[in-house]
Amino acid sequence: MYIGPGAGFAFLGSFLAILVSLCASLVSLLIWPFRVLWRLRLGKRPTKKVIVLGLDGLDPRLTERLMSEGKLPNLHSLGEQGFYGRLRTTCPPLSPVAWSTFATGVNPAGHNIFDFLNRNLRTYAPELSSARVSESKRYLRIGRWAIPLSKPLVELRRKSKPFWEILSSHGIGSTILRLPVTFPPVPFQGRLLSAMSTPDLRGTQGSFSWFSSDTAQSQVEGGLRLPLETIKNGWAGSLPGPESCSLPFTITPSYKLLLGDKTVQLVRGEYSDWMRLTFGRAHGIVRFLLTQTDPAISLYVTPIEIDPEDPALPISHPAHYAIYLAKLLGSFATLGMAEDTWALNEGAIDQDAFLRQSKLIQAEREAMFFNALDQTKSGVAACVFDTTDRVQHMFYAGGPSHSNVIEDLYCDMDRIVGHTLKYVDKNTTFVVLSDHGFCAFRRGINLNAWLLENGYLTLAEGRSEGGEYFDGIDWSRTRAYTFGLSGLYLNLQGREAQGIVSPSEAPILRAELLAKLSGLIDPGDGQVAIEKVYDAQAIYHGPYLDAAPDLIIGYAPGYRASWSAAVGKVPKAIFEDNNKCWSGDHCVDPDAVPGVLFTNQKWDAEGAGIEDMAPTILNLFGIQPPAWMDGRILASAS
Amino acid sequence: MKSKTTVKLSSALCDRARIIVERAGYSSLEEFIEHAMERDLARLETSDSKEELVRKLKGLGYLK
Repeated sequence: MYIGPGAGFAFLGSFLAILVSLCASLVSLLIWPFRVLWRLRLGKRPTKKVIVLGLDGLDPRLTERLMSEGKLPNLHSLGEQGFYGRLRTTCPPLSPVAWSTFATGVNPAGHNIFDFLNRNLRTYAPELSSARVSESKRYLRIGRWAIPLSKPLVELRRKSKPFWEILSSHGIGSTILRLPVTFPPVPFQGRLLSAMSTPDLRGTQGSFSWFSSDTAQSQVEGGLRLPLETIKNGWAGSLPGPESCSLPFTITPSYKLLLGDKTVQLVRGEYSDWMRLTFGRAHGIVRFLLTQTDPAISLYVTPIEIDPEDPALPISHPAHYAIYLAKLLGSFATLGMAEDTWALNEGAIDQDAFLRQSKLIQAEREAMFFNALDQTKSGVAACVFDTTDRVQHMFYAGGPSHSNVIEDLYCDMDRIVGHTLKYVDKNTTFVVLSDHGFCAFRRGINLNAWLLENGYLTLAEGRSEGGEYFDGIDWSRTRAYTFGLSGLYLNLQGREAQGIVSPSEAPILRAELLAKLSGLIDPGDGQVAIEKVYDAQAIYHGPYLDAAPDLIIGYAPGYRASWSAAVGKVPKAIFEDNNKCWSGDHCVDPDAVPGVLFTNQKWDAEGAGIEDMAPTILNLFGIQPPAWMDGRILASAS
Repeated sequence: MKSKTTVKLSSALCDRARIIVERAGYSSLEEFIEHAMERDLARLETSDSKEELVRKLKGLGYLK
């Protein structure tokens, strides 16, 4: 039995946290006179404090309409007094790409994040683009137990240098909360809580458990269906944890859940508080939701998230910051994408339960953001709220009973802006931005099917369709392929293990595919499905250009890479309807989904791009942006 | 978490690298050296099985 992905961290975590805290206090005391001098120097900087409020996916069209209707008074007055404009996003307009550009001021070929997924060039297997977690390589084996003797290897794959590390080298501290692609955290002068790509305790990006008294065990997308056995006094189940660990529990006829020495009274339709669970020596947290009691009993359990009070993997810097937040404010969601979109897609929870979960997560985020603002006298405080993204994905076509969900959410974000304004004084720069906008997702396109139909991709003998992640593709006769949300790749000699396109042929093939795919028409409704196709060689520059997709597809609003294309399947049909609750998206042409930018100061920011933010923040503190950054300065330091 | 380690490299080699690091778009000499190592590691080291890699992606909302 393997005990958790990070039992080594868990074992040492508490002791190290106390030791580090004591050492930090001692050092802090010794260097106090120097810090006073440093603060005096900082006090002379033109900007003392920068607050960044990131609202993931806040769409400019809807924002502008609601502002004109008087429904976003705080954002409206912020824009009136300072600046409001649309913010150019990255190509492709995906959160991991765009927020990495926000942090580093470079284009994707400068930070190495091009999509949610990357591919292993030897095996064509998919990998998370932003982080890599490998199990511990050394174990002590005692019978069926395998106790890890070394830490798991955890690597951040985003390259270049975020602005807070540069500020740190100039003695300026930052608090960075839940900014995507910050797992695992890299040490700097300040505090950071990781976000997107932080796994759950099972090592996945979030897999829920869905128990029912009328089901057998089976896999569903994003989770597990599990049986609840009827016993003499209620029901019994077993919650699978990391690897083969599991925790048995019972539910009484009055819906009291008993798990080990813990008890929680379940109330239909209400989430329980976070419950701390121990699997071996790794600690996790879950919430329970009783979704049905008659005729069968159904219980939804959130993914087993890393316990912030005893993290099995590094989720904050310093390590004790997550512990501090949990002790002070209560436990909180730590998973990269904590709002459980697949549980809603699969029917484990309904729309109202999804909304309640999103609001609970948002409340946790608010508490830690305002705690950071309470403590930030100078430097940067930045927090990204991703409720806006998740709710728009799931409620874009919300139906008549949920037609105001998105509008209400925007109004709630405006409330947070209003509260944040109380922390803004004349020496504070306040920035509100989104990484991209939003549009409908009605139809999916599978470009592997298009490549097959047009002779660029070949299946193995006897296959009429290809399975997940290129299963069934004959690489010796395939010149191009796709997976993920926006990229199209050549099967290039010397790069892909079984590449057949020669380097001299590659530019011709890229141009040919670009010409054929640009303006592709959906025969289903006669509409343009692909607005534009971008050649990576033309739009990117930087040391990681070799890792980029060869072409980036700019889908028309309403379209996106289909669900099957995203996982590298090759079906017969090129186009398919999207019938999922996930009805909004932004994985389209970047020109169609810009973000928003508000500041409390008059910035010269017409036509600004998200890459301009990092150099601008550096300049606000009087620091010359480094030459490797692409962005321009939008605001002077004076 | 210890995120960096020290490796001794030839000064002459590092001096040569320093000249091109910023021009090539790297943020530091360390980043340049790490990139060179990663390119070779990608060729040489074994990775998780495809099944394990796919399992790790489970639950990512954008993917079915």
